[in-house]
Amino acid sequence: MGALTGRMSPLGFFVKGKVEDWDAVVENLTRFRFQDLDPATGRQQSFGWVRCQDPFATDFSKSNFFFGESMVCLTMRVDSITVPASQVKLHLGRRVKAAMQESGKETISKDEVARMREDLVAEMSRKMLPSIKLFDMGYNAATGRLWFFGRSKSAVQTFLDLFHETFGLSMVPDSPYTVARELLGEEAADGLMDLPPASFASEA
Amino acid sequence: MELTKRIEGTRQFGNEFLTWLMYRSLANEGQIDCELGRIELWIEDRLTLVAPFAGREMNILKGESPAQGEEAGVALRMGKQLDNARISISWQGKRWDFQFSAPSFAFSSVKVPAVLTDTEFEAVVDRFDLLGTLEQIMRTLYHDFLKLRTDDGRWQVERSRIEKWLQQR
Repeated sequence: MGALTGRMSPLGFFVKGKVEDWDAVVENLTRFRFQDLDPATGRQQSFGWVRCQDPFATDFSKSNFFFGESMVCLTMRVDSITVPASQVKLHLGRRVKAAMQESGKETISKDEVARMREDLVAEMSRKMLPSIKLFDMGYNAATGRLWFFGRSKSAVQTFLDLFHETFGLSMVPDSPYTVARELLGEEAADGLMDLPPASFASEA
Repeated sequence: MELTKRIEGTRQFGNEFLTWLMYRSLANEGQIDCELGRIELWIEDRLTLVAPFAGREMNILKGESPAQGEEAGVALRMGKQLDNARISISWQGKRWDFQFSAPSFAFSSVKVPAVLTDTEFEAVVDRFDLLGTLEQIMRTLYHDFLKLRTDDGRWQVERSRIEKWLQQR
């Protein structure tokens, strides 16, 4: 459920501070743009920015990520290759057996098995297509309000780091406390800590 | 004090807020008056009640208007509070449907009012505007709750009303 169609499941944040230099942001978006996984590197995950209406577009200018005067919409794309452990186990067993037959030994060292596993995973990774996950973001640069459309802990953490690197700003998540702080100010919100919990239970 | 501790130490205000919201809605046939004018708010077909302490025992109620059912009344009288609810809000001729998680003040599965625009660009802007409006409504209601909650005298009056309402259910 992204931002652009269907039901929306946003995580809300308050961004601290404002962007001073949008040209620097454009440069950073290009620097941290999504780049395809390179099979030669053996990496199994790649992430970065793409344009919010086109997961294959990584050219950025203010005109293509600003929607209206202050709304910034971008998408974080995460590509991953996951080699099923059960298949690795099967193929590795066969290779270990073949290596033992070839060497005429009855055992094989743990280091050798680990190296064979590494080679095998890299080889299998090269034959697989990565899965693509897209996480939209809407950031109102005037109000500091930000919505991220992803829920998994790993996606949220990756996004927080990527946003900080790109925009030079950090943010705090919505919660009863942080929303109260926005509404009442810090001192009054801190006062909530001293209130006893309310009970609506019958005291009779 | 660290922000994380403040966040974790005040999550129950989300539960109190949602419970209070249900009371305000049910006690006044869904009508709630606030700074933004009159809002119609209903707890829809799913809600979760949690005991604030003692193992956080939970009731998950589904079906037609579970908030008005006896099971919800019993759970509330036993001290449980709302943790999560499916809510609909109507304001100025527009309607939003969504799930609200009280301890994290988080919205999910938000259905915003239909957007009729000529371009995809306008549709994106409108959808975010409508999401922002929903947040503004909920924050306005939360602000009203906090003003009551932090005023001991007014809160005691409100709490007595809620208790009385619960006993009459």
